[in-house]
This record gives sequence, structure tokens and C-alpha cells, in this order.
Amino acid sequence: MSRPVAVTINGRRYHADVEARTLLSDFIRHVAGLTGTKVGCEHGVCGACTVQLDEEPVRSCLMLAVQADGRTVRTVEALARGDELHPLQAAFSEAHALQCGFCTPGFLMSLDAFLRERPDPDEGEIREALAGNLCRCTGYTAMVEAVLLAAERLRPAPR
Amino acid sequence: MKLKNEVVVTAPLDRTWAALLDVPRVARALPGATVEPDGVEGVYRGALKVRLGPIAMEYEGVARLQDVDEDEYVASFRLQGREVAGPGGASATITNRLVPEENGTRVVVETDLAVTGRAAQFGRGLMEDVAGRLLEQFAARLETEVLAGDAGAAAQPPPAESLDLGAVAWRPLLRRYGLVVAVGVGAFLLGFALRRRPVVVIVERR
Amino acid sequence: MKPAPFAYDDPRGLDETLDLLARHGEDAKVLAGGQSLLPLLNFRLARPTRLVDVNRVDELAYLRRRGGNLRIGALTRAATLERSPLVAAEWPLLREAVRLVGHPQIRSRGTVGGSVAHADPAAELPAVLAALESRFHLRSRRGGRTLGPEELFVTHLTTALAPDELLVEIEVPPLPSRAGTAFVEYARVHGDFALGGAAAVVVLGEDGTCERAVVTLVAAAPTPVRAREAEEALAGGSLTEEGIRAAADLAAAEVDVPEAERPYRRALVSELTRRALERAVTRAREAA
Repeated sequence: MSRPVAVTINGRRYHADVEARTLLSDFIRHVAGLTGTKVGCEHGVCGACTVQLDEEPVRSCLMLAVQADGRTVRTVEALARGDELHPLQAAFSEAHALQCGFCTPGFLMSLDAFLRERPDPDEGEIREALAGNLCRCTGYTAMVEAVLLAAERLRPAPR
Repeated sequence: MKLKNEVVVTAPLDRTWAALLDVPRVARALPGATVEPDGVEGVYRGALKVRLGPIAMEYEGVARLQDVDEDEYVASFRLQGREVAGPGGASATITNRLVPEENGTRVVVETDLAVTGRAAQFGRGLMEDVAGRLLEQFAARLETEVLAGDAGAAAQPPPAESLDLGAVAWRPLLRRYGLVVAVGVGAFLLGFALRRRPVVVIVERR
Repeated sequence: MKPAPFAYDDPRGLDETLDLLARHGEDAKVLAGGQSLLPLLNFRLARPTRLVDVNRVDELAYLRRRGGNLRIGALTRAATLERSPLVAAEWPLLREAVRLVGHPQIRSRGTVGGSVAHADPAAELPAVLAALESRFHLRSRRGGRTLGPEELFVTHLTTALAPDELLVEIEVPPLPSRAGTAFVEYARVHGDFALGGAAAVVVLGEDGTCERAVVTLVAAAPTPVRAREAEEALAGGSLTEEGIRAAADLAAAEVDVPEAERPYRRALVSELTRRALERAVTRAREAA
């Protein structure tokens, strides 16, 4: 019933024998021990489990670990460099875009991918990008601020 | 949620009325339906297997005739079931109202359905689609049951296999349990005696 | 909540896939993007005994124009359709609709073939593919066959696909030159399943009147429904505001949902159809 699976997460290869029904979210949390990725609704609605698969944001609760065999996954743990927060994380912190923090990893992985596609978004585009993740604490307004702040810092400085 | 379905049966009112009060016959309006009396007057035990596309849900429970208005030709049934494989359940009050028509009888089926558990929590409102489909088929088949008359009561239930279009099959609970237990015990003993791999028991879908 | 156990195959080629489906038939469920199926598995609302995962069948992932027709391999991701310059230029209706499918995270994985085979009446892609009068190519060990939308979509979550059959390609014919298209939908929360939607294709004659129109509806019935009476009412007409409004009401009459929902959903579909037609007409006039 078990199959060998090897997934590269945040640059490191994790090997395990898992049942085909093991979700990628559970592989990330229990096999790789990376619990930054959260599990919320388990049916693709809340976005708490969002990670990046080959640079694209995906719901890890809607993928089987076996489907990520040989693929590259990036989780929230990859954002910070040692003690130095990623500009998105720093912006979230400064703008008070998190309270309990449970939804935050999912938001960060969605938004990190978004800013790479749209480095100069307007508020409407940001609100649309936020729509794929749910937050019960903040009311999202501070997140818009945070994204605008992060976008500014991430953009190459004008020459 | 509330659902409403109607069908015009080409049979006179009194014959339709008689059929409607016969719970096993009404249950047979669902493909492959059989229900077993529970021992208490008017109470029946059964199981409900619902399929729609990839979705397969199974409930087991009780159906009873709740109240009968002989003056206005209204009968209501109460169904209560628990999910077999999960924590949820469903309960429904189905009210059948008869209205005489020129060429037969109109049966108006009003259902008040409450669902709990995962089917209800699921982000996509599937229950409406599933329940709607179920009651559509039920209403359509009521005519067959009514017209079949008493001959139908003695007939064997049709060989039931869930149709792709979301057919529903009632199963007598006791009979199913009996089959599973018998096969399970027999298989286990056989496997043990022959020192082979345990035999996998598959609940037969009838 | 986790899926119940299942047997699992991940074939690499179409032949291998068809062999598996031929062998396992009823017991096997095809897994593509998983954005519709995995939620059902996680909640155990579906408990297939075997999954045939086609994500590594690379020969099914392609998006190309050939002989004027758009050929969408069943494994094409929604995001690929969304980003395609070819689709944006020649089949803007597809792009307009796919951008409304869930959220970017869903579109990264969800496939066009999967959305069609899952046949959720509230899905966008089946309705727009039907509006464009697409052809659906199916394959099995027994051979191949091609179905139109009305033959393929049977009811909620049910298609005419046999247990051993796989949807391999969706073929979309080109739009005529004086055509305008539009897709409009409404959901209570952005990205949620639509409560109603309409896809409109309007083709103008040389004199600017309506040569023909195609209208399909989302979440109005157990399948994506063609509003043929509305289409007939528009054909030959001059596409006035009243004419469009009347057609929209005809479309709303096609709404087939439980009775308690009907008045609201009809009103919704009427308005959405009206908007879709207005936009399609405007775009057709601009193109002409």
C-alpha cells in the first residue's frame, strides 16, 4: 500500500514511504516536520495550506504527496533568511496584518507568488489576490497595506 | 432546506391514497427499495445509499408514517438517519398531498430536509443537488408504484444497482447486517483454518 | 478529515491509462487536477477504490491551434489557458471565464479536462465550451468517439463517459469574424461557486443585425444549458435593448432548480444574461 516518495522542500530532499492517500500537507507537516504550513478546511476553501509547487501557489491539502514525487516545493519556512524576515513578512508585521497568525503562512505563500507576477499591483489587484485565502482576525485591510509596502520594497529601485 | 416536487398519477384519488399510506410501497418508489418493519406499528428500518457522480453516501435509519389527514388527503412521513461511515445525519419530513385532477391525481411532495455532518459542511452546496435529484426520481416512480396495484406488493424488488443518475436504494438494515456478519465470520474462520491471507470481506452492493 | 484508502496508479502514457481503465472500469476514478475530486475524497463523500492519476500523462497536456480549431489537451491546466496569448486573442470567452474559476491556487492545478469530466453545473468551463460549440474527444481501448456538449453532460456531476473511457481532448472551432463574446457570473463571495452565470456569443450579419446567437447558462440546471428559445428570439433581430431584455427573460425560463430557489435564481440569470448579451453585442460591433 505504501510507495516511496521523494520531495524537495525548501531545497532539501525528504524521502519516505507513504500511503497514496497521504496528503501533501500532511507530508510537509509530519514527514518533513515543517509545521509552518497549516491545515484548515481540508477542502480547498480556506487557503491555510497554500505552498508553492515549482513556483506556483497550490493548495497542499488538495494534492497527494505521491503527486509531488520528484517535484520542488517551497513553504513559508523558506521565506526568512536566518533571522532576517522576507520583506513580505516584515511588512505584515509592521502593518499589523496578522493577529493569531494561523492564516499567515498561506497568505505569504500566495502573495509571494503574486508579487513575482505583479510587482506593481494596485489595491484592486491586491484584494483579488487576497481572495484565495481566508482570515478571521484582521479584516484584510492591513494586509492590503502590507502588500503595498512589500511591493514597494521588493521593486528594483529606480535608476 | 425545503424542496417541492409534483407528479400527476393516472389513477383515481382513493387508489393513490391507499398506495401512499403503504410505506413499503412508497419506499419501492426508490429503485431497488425494500424496507423492513421494525416491530412497532408504522415504523420501518432501512438504509439509504445515495450516488451522484463520484459522490457516494450511505445512511441508515428509520422511516415512519407521522400523521394522516383523511379529510384533506395529506400524509406525512418522518425519516431519520445517521451516516454509516461518519458523524453526520439527515432528517426529513416528507408531506404528500393529493389533489384530484381530471385525468388522475396530482401528488405534491413537500420535503423539509436537515442534514448535518460533512455533507452539510462541505463548501459546495451539494445537498440541494443530491436531494433535488432524489426527490425528482421518487416522484416520477410513485406513479409506477401506484399503478402497479396490489400485484406490486408481492413482487420482488427489481435487481438494484445504483444508476448513474443518482438512483437511491433502500436496504433492510437487519438483512444487510446479517449478510456481512455471516460472510465475515465464515471467511475469517476459513482463512484461519487454511492459514492463508485473510479474506477481504466486501459488503455486497445489491 | 483524510481520504479513505485506495489503490493508486500513475501511468505515464495514454495507452497505459486506457489499459488501466479497461481493466478496472467501475472501480477506478480518474484523478487529474484534483481540485474538485480531492475535496470529495478528503470529506469521504466519495470513496473510490482506485485512483488512476493522469498527471504524468504528458501527452495529454497541450494547447495548440490546428486548422483553425483550438485543441485543448485534457490535462491542460486552467492557469495555462488563462495565460495563453493565443486563447486571449482568438477565444477571449475562454479567458474571460477561466479567470473566474476559483482562485489562482486552484487554477495552478485544476485542468480543463477535469472540469469538464466532473460536470459541476456551477462550473465555468463546461458552459463556455458549450457556448463555443466545442467537441469532446473520448478514448478507450474500444476506440474513440466524439460528443457534443448536450450529449456529454447528462446531469449533476455525471457525463456520458463510460467507466473505461477517458476525455483526451476538447476541440474548439474558431469564432466567425463579426463575433462578440462575453461571460458574466455571480457568486456571493469572490471565487465561490457561482449562483448563476451566462456565456453569450453574438454573431452579426453584414447589415449589423444578429446573424446568430448562442447563450449557455451556469448553475441554472443540472447541466450547462443552452437557452435556445432566447437564441431564436435574437436571430435576425436588431439587438435592441428590449430585444435583449426579452431574450434574457426567455433564458431565465430555462432555470431548473428547487422551487424555493427559483424566483431568485431566475431573476439573477435574467440579469446576468442581459449583461452578457449587451457586452457581447458591444464587442461584436467593435470587431465589425
